[in-house]
Amino acid sequence: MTDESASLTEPWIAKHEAAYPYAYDKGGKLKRWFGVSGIPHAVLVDATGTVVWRGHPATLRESEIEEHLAGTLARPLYEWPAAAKGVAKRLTKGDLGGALEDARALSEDDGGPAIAAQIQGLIDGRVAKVEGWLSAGNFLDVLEAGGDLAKGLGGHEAQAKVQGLVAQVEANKDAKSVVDAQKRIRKLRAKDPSKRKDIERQVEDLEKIRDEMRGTYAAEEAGAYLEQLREKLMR
Amino acid sequence: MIQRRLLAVTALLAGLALPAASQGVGSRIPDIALEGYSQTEAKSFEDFYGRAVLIEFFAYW
Repeated sequence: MTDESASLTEPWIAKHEAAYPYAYDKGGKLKRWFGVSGIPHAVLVDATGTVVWRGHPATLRESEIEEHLAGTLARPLYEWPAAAKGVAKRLTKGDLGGALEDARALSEDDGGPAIAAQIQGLIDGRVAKVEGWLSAGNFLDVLEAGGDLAKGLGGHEAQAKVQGLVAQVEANKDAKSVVDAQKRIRKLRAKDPSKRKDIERQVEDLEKIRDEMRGTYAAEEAGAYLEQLREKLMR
Repeated sequence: MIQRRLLAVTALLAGLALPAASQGVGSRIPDIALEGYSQTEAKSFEDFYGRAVLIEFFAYW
């Protein structure tokens, strides 16, 4: 959004007493990534950074939200006590094993045991996510996010489990073509085309990938992005 | 409980058409670079690490 829009936005926020945090999606980059074509539109992201729901905010059920609150941090990092700042830093760097160790070393007054329990919850949630990707055939996320998770779990008993999941994909000969196709799809998506000609070319590429990869997760991924591009063309 | 654990971040933008449901469910979000965080101590999306976040796209009008 432009500076001018901000000057119009702030009075609106004040007038409507909108108490929630807000920020600006300058240039609409995030909106385009999600393919948001109408507002209001809401996206629910779980604690592992995965999109779990999207649609008109009025249709979001409370039970849907509650379902995704398990294993989330009870308090956001910026509200953590000063003594736990180092733990927070390790967490955001993906060093979950180190963060857990440091949290366990914190005193009860500094919230150590509670923070450690929450980090354990985060780890459990992330491991379950990698298992889910594997059973859905989403091999690229197992390799990339699962690989990062395994690295970050140094010293934790879950590390071997995640390494095992990643190894299953690496040993699966059929997974390679799916991974390659997923990489191609995500590369196309990252280009964020705006010209009609470029969008049409991407549609062709994606249709090809979807047809070649039929029955795999890559075909689903291609299909979802195709839908977004087709809507873009209709606008 | 919901209010405590769920932080709604609202991204402001302009644009109109029909919303597409369910697309992208199951995908991992990209690095999110929003600007000018207000009404929160958060300064970047990273500050919401480990939390469920409801991102609502809206415009002021």
